[in-house]
Amino acid sequence: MANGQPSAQPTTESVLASLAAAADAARQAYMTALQANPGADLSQLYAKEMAAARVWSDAEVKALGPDPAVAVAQTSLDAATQVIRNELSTIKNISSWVTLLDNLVTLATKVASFFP
Amino acid sequence: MNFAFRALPIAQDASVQREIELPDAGPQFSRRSLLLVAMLVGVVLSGCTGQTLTSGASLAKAGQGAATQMDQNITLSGSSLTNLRQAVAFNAGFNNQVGNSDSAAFLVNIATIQANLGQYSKLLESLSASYSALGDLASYDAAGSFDTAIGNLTTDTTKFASAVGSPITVPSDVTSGVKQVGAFVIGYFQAEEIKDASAKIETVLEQIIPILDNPATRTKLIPVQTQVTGQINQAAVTLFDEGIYSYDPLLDSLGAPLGMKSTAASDAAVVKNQRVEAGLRNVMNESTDAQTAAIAASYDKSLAALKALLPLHESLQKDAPLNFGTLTAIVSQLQSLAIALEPASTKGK
Repeated sequence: MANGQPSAQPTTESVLASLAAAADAARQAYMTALQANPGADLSQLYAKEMAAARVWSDAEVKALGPDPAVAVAQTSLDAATQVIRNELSTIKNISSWVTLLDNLVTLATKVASFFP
Repeated sequence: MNFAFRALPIAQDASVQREIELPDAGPQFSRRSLLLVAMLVGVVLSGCTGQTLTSGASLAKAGQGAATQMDQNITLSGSSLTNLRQAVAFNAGFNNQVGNSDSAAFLVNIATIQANLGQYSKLLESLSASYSALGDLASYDAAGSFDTAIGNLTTDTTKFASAVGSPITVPSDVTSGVKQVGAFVIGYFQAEEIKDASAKIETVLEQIIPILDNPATRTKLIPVQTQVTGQINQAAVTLFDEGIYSYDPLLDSLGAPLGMKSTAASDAAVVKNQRVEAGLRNVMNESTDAQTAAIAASYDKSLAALKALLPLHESLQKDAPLNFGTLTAIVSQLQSLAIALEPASTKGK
């Protein structure tokens, strides 16, 4: 899924990798905000980080269903993950991170729904 | 050969050469001919038997060693998940999110992965016990011990397969007990028991391997490296930023080959210099990355070891020479990985 084009039939492993990458991006966003805002309350951002981690781990212990629509959802998630990675060196503001992570968790949850 | 022998007269005087009668309506043999045939059969049987017993003992030793090493690696892999769970618990508490349902669910899922690893570990313990019992069979006829061990292996394999969502049915002849036959030539039948026991272990291996080879099983047993590394490092960095942890041990480890070590002022200097801190964090990431990479490598090497056992069983059953080269090399790699999996605090102790 590196080129952003949805493949016809994503494998369990590739979708899990997308979910793991999203969770990792969320954690990096938290760490970036932590460094940029020493002593600030990051509880809201941490909650988003853990929501992304939970979505990944929920899928990790299940099996991917046969719905081909997962490919489109996976593409959107990968794009949102990349946006966060691109912003790691620029965004310092906590609320901006919360907005980006909120979108990421929504997309990850949609992808995870294909793991019945 | 199931002839009904009549009692053979035993010559007390070696000089007496009498013709003896063999089975009813059978041909006439001279005593000398009979002895010659018996000796020939004995030589052939003892040759095969000796080789089988020796090969069986060697395979048992190698198989037990391999399974025990695999089990050690899996146990260490499970330990790193304990570290992950502790880190998540700290991160949640630090962010005033102790009751966070996502953190709780995440920990439950990690515990499930850890439980699957535990079941895999039990399977490997039973495999090791089965090889040990095979060794007993080769050194002294211990069919009962083997039957118990293969029964346990079958049970643990079935439980593991269910845990990772790949249920199996082990053929009933695996647990039907080693074929025991009355001993005309005890060693010969002991060799046949070893071959039968070897075939039973091989059958279970042939069921385990496709399950472990399935990428879906792999993802259920190996947590994504970045998740393990990330959560642990997040806790460590937070604790350093709060003045709780010190980079001194990391600095000392880094400087050791050059004869350099940290000073009392090192942490204060790190705090003031973002580039130095970024460098040290990268060293920390590298260390945890190596540990989590070793989890995945251990899984793959264990699978390779199980595959390497198959041709050894086949050779044993065909009375062919056993080549332990591949298995020995894989076990050696597993031993190296076990060192990488050990927590830094216990290394060298």
